Amino acid sequence: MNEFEKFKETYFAECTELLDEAGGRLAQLDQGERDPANLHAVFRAVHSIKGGAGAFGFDHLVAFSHRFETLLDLMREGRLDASETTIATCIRGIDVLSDLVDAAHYGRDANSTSHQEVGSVIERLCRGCSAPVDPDVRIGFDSANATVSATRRWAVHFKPHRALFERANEPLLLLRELCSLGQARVMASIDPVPPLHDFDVLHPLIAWNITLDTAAYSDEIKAIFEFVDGDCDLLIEEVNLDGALRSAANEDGVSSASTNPSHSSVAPLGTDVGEVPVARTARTGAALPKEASTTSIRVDLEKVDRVVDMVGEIVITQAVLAQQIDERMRDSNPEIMRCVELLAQQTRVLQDSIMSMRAQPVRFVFARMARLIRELATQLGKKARLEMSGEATEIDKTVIEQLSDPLVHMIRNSLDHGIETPERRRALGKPEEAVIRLSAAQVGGRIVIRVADDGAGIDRERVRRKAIARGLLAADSNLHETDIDQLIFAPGFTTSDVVTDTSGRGVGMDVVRQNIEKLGGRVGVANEPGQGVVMTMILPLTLAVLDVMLVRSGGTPYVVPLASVIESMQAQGAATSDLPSGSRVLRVRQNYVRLFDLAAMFGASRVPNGDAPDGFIVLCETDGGRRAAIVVDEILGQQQVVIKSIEANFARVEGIAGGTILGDGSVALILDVAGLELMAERRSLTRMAA
Amino acid sequence: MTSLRILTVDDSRTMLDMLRAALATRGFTVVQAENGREALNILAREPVDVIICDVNMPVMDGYTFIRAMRQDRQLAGLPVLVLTTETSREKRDEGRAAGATGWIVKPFDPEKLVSTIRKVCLQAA
Amino acid sequence: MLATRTSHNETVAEQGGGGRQLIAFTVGHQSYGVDITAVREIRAWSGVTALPSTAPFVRGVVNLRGTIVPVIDLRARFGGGLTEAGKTHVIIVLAIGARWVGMLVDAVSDILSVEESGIHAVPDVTDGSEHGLLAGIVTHGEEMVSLIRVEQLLSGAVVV
Repeated sequence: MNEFEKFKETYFAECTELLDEAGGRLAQLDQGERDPANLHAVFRAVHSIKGGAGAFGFDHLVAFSHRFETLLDLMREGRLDASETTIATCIRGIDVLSDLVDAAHYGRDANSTSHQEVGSVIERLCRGCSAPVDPDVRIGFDSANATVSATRRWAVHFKPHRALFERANEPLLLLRELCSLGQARVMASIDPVPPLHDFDVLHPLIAWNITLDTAAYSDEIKAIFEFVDGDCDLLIEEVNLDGALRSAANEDGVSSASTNPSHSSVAPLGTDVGEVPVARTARTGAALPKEASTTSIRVDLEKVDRVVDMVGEIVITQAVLAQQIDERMRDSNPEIMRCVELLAQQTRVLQDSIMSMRAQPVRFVFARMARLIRELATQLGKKARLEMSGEATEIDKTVIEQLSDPLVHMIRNSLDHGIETPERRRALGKPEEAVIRLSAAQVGGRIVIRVADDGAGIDRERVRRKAIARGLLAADSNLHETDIDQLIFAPGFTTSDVVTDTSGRGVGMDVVRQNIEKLGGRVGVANEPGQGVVMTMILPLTLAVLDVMLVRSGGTPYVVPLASVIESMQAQGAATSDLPSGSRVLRVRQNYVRLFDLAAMFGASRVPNGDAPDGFIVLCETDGGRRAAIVVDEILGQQQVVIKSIEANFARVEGIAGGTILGDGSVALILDVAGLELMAERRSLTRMAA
Repeated sequence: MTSLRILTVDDSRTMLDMLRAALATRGFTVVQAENGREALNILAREPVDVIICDVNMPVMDGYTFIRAMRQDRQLAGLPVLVLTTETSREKRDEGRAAGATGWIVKPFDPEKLVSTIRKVCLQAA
Repeated sequence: MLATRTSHNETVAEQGGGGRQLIAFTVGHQSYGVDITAVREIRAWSGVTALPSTAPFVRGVVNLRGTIVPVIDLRARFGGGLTEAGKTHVIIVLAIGARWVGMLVDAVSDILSVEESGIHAVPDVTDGSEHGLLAGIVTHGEEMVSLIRVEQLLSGAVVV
């Protein structure tokens, strides 16, 4: 990738975060949480987007965000009431902004009717409180208050010390930058300069006095001298109406340390003040409460991940250590026991803390759904609104990223199939506007996310017919009602007769289920015909650490995710039998489960294993609730492992979900039970064809 | 007019690449070094107008490098901007004590980077 | 164990100005080389975890400071059968694009400086297994060193 493009990508990634943040904050405002911090956050997000857009020359984006920013500014100042309609406009504003960001990102045409429409609504709102939209769109990283033009006069006294030159700073550049802020008069004071023969180049003597007429505040002037703070005498004073000087230098101690008191008597420069400087208002303090001290830092996710990995390893090492300390040692050295327990406890706290660093509130992803519901409802001629609860619940970033697609899917389904038209709802005595409730909660070590609607519910008769038509269900089968509901998760099942743009994208709930199960989660449905549907997702808090069963086959260690293990048993005496097709099955109570010999499947030719008749069988449940039994040589125990990618440095390997590093530093492979099933199926097909 | 030569010193390839991308697209010539020792070697044989350097590096860290440079009559007048992830006063003071001209806070914004260079380099202004 | 670090001290403008450094190593009686800038680490052989569904020349994976890295048996890659790896064998870890890949060889022999002009094209007489795997040939004293085209190492590694 072009190196410059990388910056753009960073910018767009930031835009997404900012838009999510703004959307979330607006949703809170919309729900009546009138915390000014919400409005400030939205303002800052829009402002940052504008800044970057200016740098990259995305003019549409700059123009729109500028208007939007003006509106938000008026709201922040209380000049425009943050009423329901204004907030609704802001929400649409964020939608447009996110379209414009996409347009800039993918080089698409940025103009659209909604863009124009929202733009003019914003303008009207601004005009309504007699704040003309500034036609001069400022581009770049201007400070938030730079658009306010109030003229001030500053008297600046600047005398470099030797240290300034020693650190290779250049007074000329500083003076030039100062002059760029406005109208300036610079006077060099050369009186103390001795005759040439006494002149020591390393001993600076020249001082400068500058009179500056500018809209800038003292902060901006001080910022110019940021690098030379302490290496010069610096005095910045505002010249007031009456010509009196007001020192700005000591306000926050920026340069007080180096200010030579003898210079406070700089001759008043206000004698020729011809205009009345605008009195300093409280604006800087009140309207833009600076995040006085930033309490967060931005850390590369990779760095956090490295720590997460390492902590995962420590958790495991600690577990191994605890195992190694046998009973005898416990009795002979209780102190060691105490330490091991303490270590376990501390490791747990460490793990929780680091996990919380990766955690994000689900609000980010929930807020995106608000737009989906708005647009989809309009498109389908239905009325629906979003209600959120528990949106502050935090989940691992990786899980959050995987959450969006399933949610979109469920909401689409709900709007497309569940929620009735306003007319129908009215006829049914329901309110015209349907409600989609998104909720999140942490229950134990898991996150429970629910999508509930008050629509018509799942039509069980239709599902049954469809399942029979699709061959998923025998025509005479007598399924329990709730089991019929579960059929929507069956592979190849789509409820819509017509493939609509909304739901029928060739993937159904089975894909949703698979994706959630890949995350180590589960999904379920509760259907109340006529009342609505509740979809429940149960997700792990983190993906970093996996509970596994460690097994050995053909001399190689493998791990099986514990979440998919149902039970394990000795192979000897187990009820296995061979099918004519060549595959073996295990009889578990009433059912037959396919049996995989890991050593045989994974190139037994390379690691000969004889025909070890004994060993163990691990009974697993795969995606979609199917079962498989794996034959291994040995079961070594259970433990927690950190998942590592094999794909990153190599390629996807069939039947393997990834790798992990064991206590002795060696690599063990994580079995992908569903992948094994596919592999076996294909092989038996090949065998049959041969 | 020949373009300004900027020596970037950082042990992270990514950071060096980011700097190069930001600077090369804006008409600067970029010279790269992975630590202070390499930077000194480069300075001994070719002219440079501004130096941007990281603090924590193997072999020779940023502060040691700046101190060594400031001791060298030929190099003492070169502006050096320290790359820092923090804006804390102590960090700045440490850099200044070593002789840094100014600092750039990571992650940097390319425009700000260029304006900071202009702030310390007469040739760039 | 011998670790090496790539060096990037040359100016961008002057990069590739004539000289290249190679890590030379042996497989049997043959000498091979790779560009030193691609080498991330050289470590002693200490066993691998076999990977299923891969070509025989994929010996498996190892743990490289917390990252899982595949190991290619270069002898087998050239069709010479599996290396009976022991303590004296080494894995040269290469950066190939964004991937890190280990290459099992018999021993590292030298670090060579060669001129770009000293790298000759591969004559069109190599047999099938070497086809495309060599990027050039360098003569170093009496010895002929074949340059490995590292991007090709993984081709055909996954068996479906």
